[in-house]
Amino acid sequence: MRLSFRTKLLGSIALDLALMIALGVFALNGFSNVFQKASMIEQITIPSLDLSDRINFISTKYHALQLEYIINNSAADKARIEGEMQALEQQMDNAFAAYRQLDTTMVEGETLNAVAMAWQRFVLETNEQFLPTARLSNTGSVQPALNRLNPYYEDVLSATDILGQLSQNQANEALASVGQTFESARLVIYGEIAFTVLLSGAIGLMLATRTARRIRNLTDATVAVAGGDLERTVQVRGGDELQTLASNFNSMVRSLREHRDMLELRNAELAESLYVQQQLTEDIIRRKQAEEIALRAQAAAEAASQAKSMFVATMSHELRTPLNAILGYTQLLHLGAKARGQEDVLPQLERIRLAGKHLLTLVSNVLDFSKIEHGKMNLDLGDVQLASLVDEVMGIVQPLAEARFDQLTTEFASTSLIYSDGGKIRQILFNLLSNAIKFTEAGTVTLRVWDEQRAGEPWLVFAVSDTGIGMAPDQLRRLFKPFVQADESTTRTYGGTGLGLALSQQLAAMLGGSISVESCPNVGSTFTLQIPVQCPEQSEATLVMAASPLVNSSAVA
Amino acid sequence: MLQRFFLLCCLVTLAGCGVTTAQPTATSLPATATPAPTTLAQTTPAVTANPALRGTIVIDGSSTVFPITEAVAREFALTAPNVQVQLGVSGTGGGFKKFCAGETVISDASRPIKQSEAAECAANQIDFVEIPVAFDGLSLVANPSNTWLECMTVAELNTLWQPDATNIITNWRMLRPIWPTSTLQLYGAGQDSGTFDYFTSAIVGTEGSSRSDVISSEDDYLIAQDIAGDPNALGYFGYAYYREYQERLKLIAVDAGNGCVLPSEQTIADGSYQPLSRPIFIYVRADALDRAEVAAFVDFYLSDLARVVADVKYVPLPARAYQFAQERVQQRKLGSLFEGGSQIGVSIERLLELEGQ
Repeated sequence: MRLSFRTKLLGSIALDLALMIALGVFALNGFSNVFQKASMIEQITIPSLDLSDRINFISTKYHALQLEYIINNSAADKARIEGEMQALEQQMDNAFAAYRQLDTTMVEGETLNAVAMAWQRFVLETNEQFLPTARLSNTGSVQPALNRLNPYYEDVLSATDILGQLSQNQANEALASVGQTFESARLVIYGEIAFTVLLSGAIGLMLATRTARRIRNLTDATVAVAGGDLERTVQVRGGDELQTLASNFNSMVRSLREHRDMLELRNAELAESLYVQQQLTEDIIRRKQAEEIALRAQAAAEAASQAKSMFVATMSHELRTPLNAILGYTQLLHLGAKARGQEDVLPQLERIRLAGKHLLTLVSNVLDFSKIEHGKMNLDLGDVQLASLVDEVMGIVQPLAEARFDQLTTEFASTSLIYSDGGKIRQILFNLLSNAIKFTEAGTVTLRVWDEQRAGEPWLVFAVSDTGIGMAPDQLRRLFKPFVQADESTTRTYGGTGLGLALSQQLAAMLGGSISVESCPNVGSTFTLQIPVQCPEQSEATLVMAASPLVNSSAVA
Repeated sequence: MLQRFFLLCCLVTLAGCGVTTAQPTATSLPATATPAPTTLAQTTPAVTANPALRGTIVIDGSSTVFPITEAVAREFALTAPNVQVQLGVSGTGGGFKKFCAGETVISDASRPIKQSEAAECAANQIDFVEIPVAFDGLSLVANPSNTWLECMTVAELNTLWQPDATNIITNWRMLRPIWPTSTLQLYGAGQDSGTFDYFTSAIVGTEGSSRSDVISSEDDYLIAQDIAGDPNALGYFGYAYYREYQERLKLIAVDAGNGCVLPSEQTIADGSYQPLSRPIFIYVRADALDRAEVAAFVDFYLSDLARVVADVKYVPLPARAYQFAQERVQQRKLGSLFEGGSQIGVSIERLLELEGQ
């Protein structure tokens, strides 16, 4: 039975309904038959019985009147009785007419005709034989005139009797038929009711039993599953909703099983991950502790650096005063010796002056660097005539280049009037140019200046290229760190504090720009300064940036 | 059915008929159609009414003669509407009792008046004129369902009807061995009946002597109806009654030594039907003939009697006989032509002879 539960229920209900309808139709038919028969009895049989009784009554009464007619000798009585007899004859005619109007059988019709004929003979005999004689009145001991009528009366009575019997038979038959029809209809109705009830009961019981068993299976399975037995499945049968339920249940259990398996897996993973996490956390805690230690160490270092910078700044300042005094007096000595013609001391004096001046530069640089580190370097912003600035710087480095036999060229492609700190730009350019000249011997040092558009803002680019010794990549990485030169060994060859590039880098940052470098060993280097045409006002950011040259250094390169 | 049966019994009782009638007639009659009885009106000659005649004519007596007198009386009622004819039937003997007591003026009789009756009349000073009106053959009849009975000898009838046979001869084989053992039931005229007197006289040998288990009535109609309804029946009555019920009855021949003879107009008239052929009469009170209505009635009676008699299926007497009768009335010839009581073997010739004297 591949039917859904609903279909089964509907089917059984429909079957019941069909049976009930059949029952109804049969009952209706049966009772319609009963009704028809009953109608026939009412419309034909009962009236015909009545009429045959009436015919019997009239003929009996008629005969009784004949007797009365004989007994009564007075003319008045005889006349009255004759009248009554005539009335009876009329009534009899009416009865016959009424009877003929009934829808009777042919046999009954013929019997009625026999009665009518017998009656007519009786009446004829009465009128033609009985009355003329009986009218005479008599005194005799016997009544032949009356007795002579006996056969006629007998005929009427027996014909009437047959008619009555016929009507009675018909009534009995009709009643029996009604009874039988009713009986059979009742029997069939009872039978069908019993059948319907039994069938419904059987179907219901079967469905209920099967369904209950299957539901119990399901329930058992549910209990088992609820108890944790996820391996439990139920049999999938029946093709109805319960099958769907069972199938769904199995799917659910399967899904539960999968979920459980997955969950177990996850749990294992989680446990593992928790372990890892714990490890990690411990690591982090350890790292944090280390970091704190480092931070404390850094703070201590910074404090130390601060103290060192303060010391350097103070020392530089303190150093410049005696240095300036030394340089001034050396200048005076140089002028006096020259004037006195003491030519032989002049080169010594020149060496003192040069050494002093170098020292002063060194001290100035250290001071500047220190100022920047402490955020005490201030920008002096204003309109800068770039062309004259470049000329000025070139004029300053010209003697240096000549001393190194370098060719100094300028490619100036900008006429911009910029808003910036001219002094700082000059210092940066001087640093870059003097650096390039320092590491170039009998080569070319070129300064190129041009405008660029970056993010809609006008920028200025200064590129200083040389044909010097160049640098290897690992040298470039250390390039902008303070007090470091590309090669430790170069310090002795080329001199310098190593502060110049770091300082320039810091200054460029202060101006909102940067310095980058491209270099190839033994080919040359190009240092490029890029600054915005409109220098931004000095901000915290730039200060902070300027304040952390150590951390920020990797941004260049 | 039962109701009807009772009703009919009541009717019979009320009518006072059937003195010894015990057999109900109602249920025994076949339901077959009966032939229409002889209609008298058809042959009634046109008569002129005579309203001047008044009075009452009381008639009683034999049921054998009743059909003739009835026919005459009904015709007479048309001619004399103001004359009241009272026509009763009490049997010949019953009729003579009333007649001789002066209660009636005409008495129907199926036998001549007995000497005892005549003496009674004489004692009451009642004279009478005897008028033979017709010849009758007492007819022996059985039920039509009887297929084997055709003829009986006078000796058998004698054996059957004598008083000693009462409750002894109860089946047919006792009479003749070839007949079946089926029971027999006898029917006959009542003891007041002239027919009874004549039959016992002719068959048993002694007038009024008969077995007693005979169902009887003074009304021959009832006897005829009874026999028509009883398959075992054997009975007798006037020929006219047989003719009226001939469809329902079987006529049995009588062998008086000269072979079996059935009664018919022919055998009755020629005297071959013996010994049951007989004349029938009316007796008229002589002094009543002085009354115009009685005289008129008797005159009317005799005026066309042959036709009436034929109509009711008796055998008319020769015209000469009626002539004699008229003369006897006119001449007031009193007394009986006979020696008293039933006279067996009286032929028409003998009657004429007697009348002619």
